[in-house]
Amino acid sequence: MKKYQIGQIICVICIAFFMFTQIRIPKESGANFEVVSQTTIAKVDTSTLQQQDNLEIKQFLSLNPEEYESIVYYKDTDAMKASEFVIVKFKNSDQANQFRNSIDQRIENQQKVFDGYIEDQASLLKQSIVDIQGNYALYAVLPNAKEVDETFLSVI
Amino acid sequence: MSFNSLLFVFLFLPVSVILSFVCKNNNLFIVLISFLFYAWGNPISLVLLILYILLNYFTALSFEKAEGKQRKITLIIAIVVQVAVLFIYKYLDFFLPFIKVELHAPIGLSFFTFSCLSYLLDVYFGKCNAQHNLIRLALYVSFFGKVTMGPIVQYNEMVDQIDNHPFQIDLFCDGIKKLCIGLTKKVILADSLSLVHMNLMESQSVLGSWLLAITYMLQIYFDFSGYSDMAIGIGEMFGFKFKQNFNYPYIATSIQDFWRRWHISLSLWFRDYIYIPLGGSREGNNKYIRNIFVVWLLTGLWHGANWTFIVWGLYFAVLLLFEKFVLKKFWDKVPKFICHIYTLFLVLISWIFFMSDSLSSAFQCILHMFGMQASLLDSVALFNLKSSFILLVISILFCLPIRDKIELFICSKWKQKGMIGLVVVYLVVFLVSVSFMISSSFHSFLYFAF
Repeated sequence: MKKYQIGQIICVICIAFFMFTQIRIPKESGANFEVVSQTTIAKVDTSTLQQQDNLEIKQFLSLNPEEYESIVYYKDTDAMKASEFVIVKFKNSDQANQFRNSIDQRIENQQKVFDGYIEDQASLLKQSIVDIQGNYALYAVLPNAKEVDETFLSVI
Repeated sequence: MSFNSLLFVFLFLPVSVILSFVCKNNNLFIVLISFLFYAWGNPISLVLLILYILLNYFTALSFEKAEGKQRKITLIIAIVVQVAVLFIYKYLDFFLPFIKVELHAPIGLSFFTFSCLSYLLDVYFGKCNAQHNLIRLALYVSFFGKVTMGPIVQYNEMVDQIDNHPFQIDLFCDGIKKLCIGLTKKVILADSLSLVHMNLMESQSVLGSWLLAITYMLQIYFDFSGYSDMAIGIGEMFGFKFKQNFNYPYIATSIQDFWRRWHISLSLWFRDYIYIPLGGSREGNNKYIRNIFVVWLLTGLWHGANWTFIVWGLYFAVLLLFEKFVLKKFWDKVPKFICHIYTLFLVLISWIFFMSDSLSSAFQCILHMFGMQASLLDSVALFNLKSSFILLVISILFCLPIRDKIELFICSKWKQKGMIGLVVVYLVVFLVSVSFMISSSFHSFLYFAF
């Protein structure tokens, strides 16, 4: 019986250690969304991109814009192009997980569309960036996604 | 991995079933594929699941032979640890918002925590013996058919099946049927209703608000009951018989009746492990009222860390007490259609709290429904009503037990030909569901969040 009690205690310690390793302190940004979005968008070639409305955000990204503090979504007007980006400010950090899941699914769906069909766009998708920083997040499928992400990080 | 993904339907499940058949439903094999299923996409969460299995394994064995205080302390330690983990993942931000931490709850945490607690309490109160075989306990907790979204099968219901779940052709075929039905409910009905519901969020009219609530009411039923059907069907394919989790809740004639039909496994869990140990209705009215409020507060909280869920739970507590102390005396004399309307209306109101982010948006929706701060109609509501009318009619019809009656009629009238016809129908419906899965964006199950 004592060995089982020791087993129980070891499990409790392991669970506590596991929880400790999972905890992250979020880095919340106090930056204004308008400033963040305009500064980031300035790095993007928006000549072929169009800002999408709430219905399109729901349709393409399965996100409800009303749930977020602010969200902006640009997408290529050409259906044969995968270029798009999203900048979002969360109301609370719980939304990050849901956002991540929706975007991961968006990327997966887009890959199914372009893989084996338009390889350069499929390659662009593979280099996509999803960057969640506390209460802000960026999703970018762009030729200069890294540069856009660096700008995003510097402004938040 | 989700039950409504192509990967699961066409690869994971058929390969698991075939290999399990070859291994004669070997428990170790099922545990390994369950671990693979659970770890898919987030392998770190599997660590917690395995630690839970081990914790409960050692705990039950250590108090099996212990007595008195030692036994109680061992049980309390295990319960406190598991409830604490659930609290930290799900409720820390709500109850202690000044503590800013980022934590991503493992999928199905609420479900497998309740399964583990069921095991411990069944052993503690002598309903079952402690499980000496770790694989059998692992199978109970982690079986992939139920680990992520239930049903919350109590240990005492599954213990006899753990070592006795042979392949049975009738059960297997029934399992496939339930899988098809569940998939259809989810990918055709629930996902379509979800799109209509999202479109209706733009509406500020009376009609739009009613449609918003009704589409959510239908969506959540098909989403969750669809998943449950699939989970129970998968269980049957591996030789397990789980109780039904939904029994046409929208034909209920009272709130009490509704909760005997909706998420039955959760209701029974709270009844057996919270309500009855607290004394149930046996210790006078005051304690009964207290017990009802405790159970429904916890039921609301189980669904999420938000005042909307708390209000949702307490709303049902008040209604159940109202039915017990006021309506019960004459409810049998009330015409059934009035009972149905009463129940549907009150349940509809409850779903407004469930679907809203905040109490203020819930109350705003209710005000709009009754014409306050809202126009009667708007273009969004009218457009969605016209475009989704057939979907709404079909959805409402499938909330009724007509499918069972049609099947019974066909089988009794045409016997073998009828059964073959039904198989063809189910095959066609399955193929249509697959086409929906391929063509539409992914919609995860609503109850995944729990």
